[in-house]
Amino acid sequence: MASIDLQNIRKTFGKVEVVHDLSLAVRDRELLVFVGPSGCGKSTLLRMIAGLEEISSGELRIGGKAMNRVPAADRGIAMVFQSYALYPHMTVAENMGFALKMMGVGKAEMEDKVRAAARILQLEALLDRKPRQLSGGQRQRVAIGRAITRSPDVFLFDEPLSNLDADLRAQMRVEIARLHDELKTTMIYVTHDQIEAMTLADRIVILNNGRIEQEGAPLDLYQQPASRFVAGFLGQPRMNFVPVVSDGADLRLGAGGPVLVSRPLAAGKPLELGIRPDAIAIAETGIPAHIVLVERLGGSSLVHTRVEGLEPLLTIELPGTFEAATGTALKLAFDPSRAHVFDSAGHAV
Amino acid sequence: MWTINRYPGAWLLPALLPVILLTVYPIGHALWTSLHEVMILFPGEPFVGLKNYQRVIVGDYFGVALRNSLVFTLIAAPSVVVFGTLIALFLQKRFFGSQVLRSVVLLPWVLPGAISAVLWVWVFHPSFGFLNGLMIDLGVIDTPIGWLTNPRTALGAVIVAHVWTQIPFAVVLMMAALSTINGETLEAAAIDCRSAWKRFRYVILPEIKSMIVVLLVYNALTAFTSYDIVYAMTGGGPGTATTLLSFQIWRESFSMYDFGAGSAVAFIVVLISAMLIVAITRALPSDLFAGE
Repeated sequence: MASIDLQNIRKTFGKVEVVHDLSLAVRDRELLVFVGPSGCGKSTLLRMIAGLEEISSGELRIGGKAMNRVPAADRGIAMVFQSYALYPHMTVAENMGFALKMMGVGKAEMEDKVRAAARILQLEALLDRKPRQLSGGQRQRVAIGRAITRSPDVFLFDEPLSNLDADLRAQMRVEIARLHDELKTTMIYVTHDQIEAMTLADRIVILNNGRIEQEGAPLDLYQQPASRFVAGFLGQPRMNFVPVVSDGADLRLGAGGPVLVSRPLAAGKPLELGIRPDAIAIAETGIPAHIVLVERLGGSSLVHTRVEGLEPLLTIELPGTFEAATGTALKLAFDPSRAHVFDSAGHAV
Repeated sequence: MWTINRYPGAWLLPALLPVILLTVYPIGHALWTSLHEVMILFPGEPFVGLKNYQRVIVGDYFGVALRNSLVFTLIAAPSVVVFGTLIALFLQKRFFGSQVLRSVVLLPWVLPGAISAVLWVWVFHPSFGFLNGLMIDLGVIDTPIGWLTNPRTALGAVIVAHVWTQIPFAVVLMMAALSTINGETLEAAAIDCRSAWKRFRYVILPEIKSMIVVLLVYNALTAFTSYDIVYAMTGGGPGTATTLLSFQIWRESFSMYDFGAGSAVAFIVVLISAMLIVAITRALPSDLFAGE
């Protein structure tokens, strides 16, 4: 059990800086998720915490102790990798007990811990198998079991579910959440999948180009994104972005266009309105539009509509029972409290 | 009428003919020669049974040559594998100039045996040799050592040269074996275990074990039948200090013109090689090549 402190951490590869002056405090027993697009530096950051990547500058503390120069094996961490990274020639039990064996833990204690971890992950029947005899989901459970047997202060997960198919991913997601509840250990989880981030995290850190874009509880980030990047990254289906201008009192689509939302903002500047598909409704009066395409997902339908004079299509999420043909004319209404406005630099206004 | 089912043997001929011509026939002929008295100076080639074998085995040189060849093999083959593995492990790391170094390490491989021999003769040369010069400069010795002319050092010197020529191939194969290990598995090991030696012992070694066996068998055979570099460096001397069995084949056949005896030695070499392979593979766990 430990908190983690990152202070002014930088990482450079040659002349390229991939993590810029990043500071972050991970609370004890928290499940923190690093999420962001490919190349945002989230894996590099995790690997620096693990000790697999050198920290170019800045300070890393785990449980209050400086860790920059401490070898990975002595940091009190355990890591679960995307490719499972099991030792192919060892059985499941040997894989799970390897770290303990290397630490010189006695055989009886080692077997106890392996059995305890196997029970948590329902691996008891597989203890004598070799990794190649297991399915992808089983392998990842063994990798998690290997991390558990070490009783680490911190668990690190590097995109652990990316190699699994969708069903298994959903199932393992639940298992990891359950595991965190059970073990109450600090966990850092890296993913590019915003659904994993939203469902697992106590707190999400959104990374973009080696910087923290925003951090906070999942729903806070979802409801109050600080930037267009965060607003666009979190939420499925994606938020609609519409170029608007302000006349001081209302946000209009174009200079003489219809009023989209009433909100007092400095006039004249180019702005962008962000509105989630489930915050738009069909109403008696409102902005006229017509249906271009309906995507039926079963439980809900995504209705793509064109508003006169508006370049991007507006996507609306409606109940799956919604019936309308392409070309049907509608009137759209927004929930103004759920409309987000971003300036030209992408910051929320 | 030309269907494969009708004349299956005929369809195999294009593949079988070269094998028969280039492998089966020469070996058969050598076996035949080893059982007959074939001497260029005497007419006729009478059948003599195992007399050739008997003669070479009780001959003056055979015991020495056999001992030399076994010593040569038992030192050279493991050395090549050990150094090859160490160098491969080192070259796996990325550092400034590692790409250049990788190419340089392969150099001994592209040199013909005779050229390597000349190079090593110069290294060991008593008057101008690099090794003597270095050792005198460092104050290890006062007077130069005739590495290749001293019966006690000559065999060691040719073993060093032979090992040097064989290392690159071992490095290439070992690097290939190492590169098949999942990088994340090695990182997992780095988190599980602080000691680099233990990581090698428990995680890397099991993954390259089968390659080590392949290299050990291959190098045992190469060393046991090595001929060119020793011949070019010492000619089997001084005295019989570096006379190997392979060298004895040549001596009986082309120096004594006794092809029967030369073939008999050749067959003894084949026999011992076969025993070496069986011994090495027997000494290893049976599950080595099982699975994946």
